[in-house]
Amino acid sequence: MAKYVSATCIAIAISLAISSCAVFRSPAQRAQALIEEGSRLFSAGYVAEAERTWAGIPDSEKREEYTAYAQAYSAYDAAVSRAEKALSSAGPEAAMAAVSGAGAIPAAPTAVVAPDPLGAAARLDRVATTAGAALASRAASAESSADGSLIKTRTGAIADRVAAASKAVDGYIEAARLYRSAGDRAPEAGAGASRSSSKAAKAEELHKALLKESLVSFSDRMGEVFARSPADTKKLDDKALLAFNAETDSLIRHALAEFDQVVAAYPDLIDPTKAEKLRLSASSLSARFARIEGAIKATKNRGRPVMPLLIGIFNPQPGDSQRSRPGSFTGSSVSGSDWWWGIVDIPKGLAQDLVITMSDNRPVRVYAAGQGSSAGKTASDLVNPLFKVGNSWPVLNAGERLENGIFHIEVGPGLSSSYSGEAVVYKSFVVRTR
Amino acid sequence: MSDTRRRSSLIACVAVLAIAAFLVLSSCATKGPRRIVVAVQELPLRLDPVRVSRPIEENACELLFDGMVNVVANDSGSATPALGLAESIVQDQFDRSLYRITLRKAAWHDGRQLCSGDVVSSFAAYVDPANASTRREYLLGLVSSVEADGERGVLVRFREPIAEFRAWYVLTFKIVPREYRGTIMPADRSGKEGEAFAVSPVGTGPFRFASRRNSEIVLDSYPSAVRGAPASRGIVLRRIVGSKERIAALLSGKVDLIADTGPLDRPLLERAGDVMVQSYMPQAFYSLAINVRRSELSSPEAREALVRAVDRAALVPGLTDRSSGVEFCCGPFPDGLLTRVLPEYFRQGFPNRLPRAQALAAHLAETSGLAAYGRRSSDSFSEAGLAIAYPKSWGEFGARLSLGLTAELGEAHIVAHPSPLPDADYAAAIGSRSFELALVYHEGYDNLYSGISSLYRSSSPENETGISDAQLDKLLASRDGAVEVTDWIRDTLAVHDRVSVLAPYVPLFCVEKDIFYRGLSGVLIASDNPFLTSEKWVQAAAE
Repeated sequence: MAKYVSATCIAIAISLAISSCAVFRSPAQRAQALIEEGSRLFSAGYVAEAERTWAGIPDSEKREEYTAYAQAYSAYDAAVSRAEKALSSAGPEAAMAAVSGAGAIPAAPTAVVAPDPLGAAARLDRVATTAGAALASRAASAESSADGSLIKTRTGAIADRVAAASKAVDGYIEAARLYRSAGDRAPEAGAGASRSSSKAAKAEELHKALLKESLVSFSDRMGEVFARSPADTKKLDDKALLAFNAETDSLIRHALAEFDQVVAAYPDLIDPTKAEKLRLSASSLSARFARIEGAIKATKNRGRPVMPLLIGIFNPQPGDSQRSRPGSFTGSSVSGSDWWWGIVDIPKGLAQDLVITMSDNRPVRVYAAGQGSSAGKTASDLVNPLFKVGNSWPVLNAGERLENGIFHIEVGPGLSSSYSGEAVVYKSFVVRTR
Repeated sequence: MSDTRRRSSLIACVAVLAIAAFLVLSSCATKGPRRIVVAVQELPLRLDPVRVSRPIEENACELLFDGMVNVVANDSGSATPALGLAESIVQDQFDRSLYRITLRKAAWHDGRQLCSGDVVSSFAAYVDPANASTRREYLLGLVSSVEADGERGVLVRFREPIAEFRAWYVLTFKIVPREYRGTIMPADRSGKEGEAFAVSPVGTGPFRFASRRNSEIVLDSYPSAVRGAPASRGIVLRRIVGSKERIAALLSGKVDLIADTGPLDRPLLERAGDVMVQSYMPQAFYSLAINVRRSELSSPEAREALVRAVDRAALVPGLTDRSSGVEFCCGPFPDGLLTRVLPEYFRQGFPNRLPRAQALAAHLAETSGLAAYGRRSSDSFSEAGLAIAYPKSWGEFGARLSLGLTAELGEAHIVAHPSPLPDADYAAAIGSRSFELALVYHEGYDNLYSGISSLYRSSSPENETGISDAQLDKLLASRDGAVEVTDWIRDTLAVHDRVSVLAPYVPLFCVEKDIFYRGLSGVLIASDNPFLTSEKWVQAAAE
């Protein structure tokens, strides 16, 4: 306060002196005096007072030059203060942005003005250095994290590998950005930005490759989803079976939507014809759920379901749209019969066989729809005994002989209590008996 | 009694006892197992399963060789597959097209141990085109590789996942040794090594080759056989050409079993009370071959007239009009082929494209000029009309069948007459295609009649009618290569239709075939191959 009172007194004295001198000085002399007086005030750190002093310069050009300088410096100082505040409260990125926003310290119009009387430039430099170091540290951390993600692309399920690659790409891009933000304030920032950008580009290539692999293996993965089995088939009533069916359907539909998104986002990743083929393959899987649902609702006295419930021709070749897995079942019985059921998906006109293979030599009969369990009085065993080999029980030309593809398996008692079995669809090949 | 007399009496007693002992022992010896004599019409030329071309060769190889899987006759009389040289066959559960086979510890007839290399080299031999194996295309259509997996392990990779019950049948091809007389056999068996093997083979089967003469092949039992030691001492295949002579040999005890019999032989043998008979429907058929290269028979209309003129049931009264034991053909295959081999796929037989229609037959015969030709004297034969050639060895059956055909054709105004020819002349007429019509019997097919193509292919040496049709050639090639039932059905129906249009034969019928035997037990005939249970055959007196 005392500082301001004495400054005001000085200013009054000076004004009186100037007023008295003005009577006796030329305008140029008066201007020079005001410039010098303002410069003295400015150099002493009284920027606002200096501005006011310089505002009295009669020469408009000079007046503008000096007052503008004072205003510019004030603004610079204010920007530095904001940068300092940003560093302490909003973090290094905001601080670095404020540093950039502050720009360069204004150039003084005359040598009599002491530059940067408030030390703003040095303060700004401190902010920039501190923020740069913090940004470089964050960049290094992001880069390291992305390196970790990249390692995770090497193993695991394809969906996880794709996600890891995507994360690595994002991490490297972020690291590069942070390094660039650090600018020349961190000695390692330049090389770090360059290195991270390069890594980001490579990770993106890997990401695309994995995405492509993911698309190509799409139908296989959907096949796996289709073939999934509930944890406990023993307590699988109609309601639970329908729910499980709907859940599987939902999983496939969801995956299909994701597939479409990837194909749309990366149109060059996979040949459109192939993409459509894969899509149709998954769509056809999805379409089968309605058939399964209809069969569950319509078929009575059917026993427990084999899993997957609907099976097509067995073919383990990756990418084969006709791929299907065995329907499997396990149970335990030492007396009486166990009943199982399933559905074969055999295109009309194709000769294919359903083969039930058991883990032991217990007897098996296979019936068409409506002939299982308690409806068995007119049941006709469809197994051809002439072709029975080992523990395999074949139903030849199953597509034509099973109404709507539905089959019922009657598993007889065996020597051991537990058993397992598989239902597999094979192509019918000709056999020569000579 | 003096010492001299006592000594004389003692010597006499000892001599009597010695003679009695000799007689008893001799008697026992005659009741022991001996070789079983089988009468056949012709002897196998080659005993190499890779290169067999005749039914008798195929059948005889059953005595000498095993497959990894053997087709055996089960107790109900059906032919079913059973493990042969394979101790186990395990399907790979991941791709289901790979089968891991472990071979039994078995020895060849020459003492060498069976090994996986034998199986690998056998497969190579079957698929080598130089050997012209009848199994080549079938095996190549289904199997992509056969590899050794250790000394007794074999990996058979099929081209596609295949069910066990079908894979086992594919694995029935007979295994031949990789080494013969100390040297490695070449895959191409048409050279001197292969010929030597075919004459004096080495196998693992229940009988081993002993000797060969003009009229018989002698096989000794092989006690170490994987199917078990044969009950008999061996088997002799004895060639007796004439049907009557074979029957006489059976009745006189010179042979134990007749494998080649005629359709009308049964009454002759039923009169002999101790003759046993087993019947089966063979994979064979009778038909009337039409020489399509002769101008009067070159038009499809003329041939259709012949086909439509015949009522098959009326041909041999007492045989072809029976309610069972006879099956008609309305095309190149027996009518029951589809319903028999694919009952799950077919409920009815082939469509009859050319059913009997006498008025139409007569019309076609007139418009095609066949009737006019028939009314003229034949160029080649003394009697008027078309000559129906048949071998004299067919005896009464040939005479009655040709007469029946003559009568049936006559009703459609087509003049024909029987023309019995000595067997050699008949064979020459067929071979040189110097006949008009000829009764033919084709046998030895597999259950699918796979070999039937050779009768119709334009360039086939067995094409006796002279039919040549590019479309049919293409269909036959497709059918021969078909390994999937869907394709096989499509091609078989197409071949049936095309052959019906071309009509190079008047298709006739199949009849049950009889196997006659005396004093044997263990005989069970389940298929065209009478030797499926041969290791169990034994003279009843020796049991």
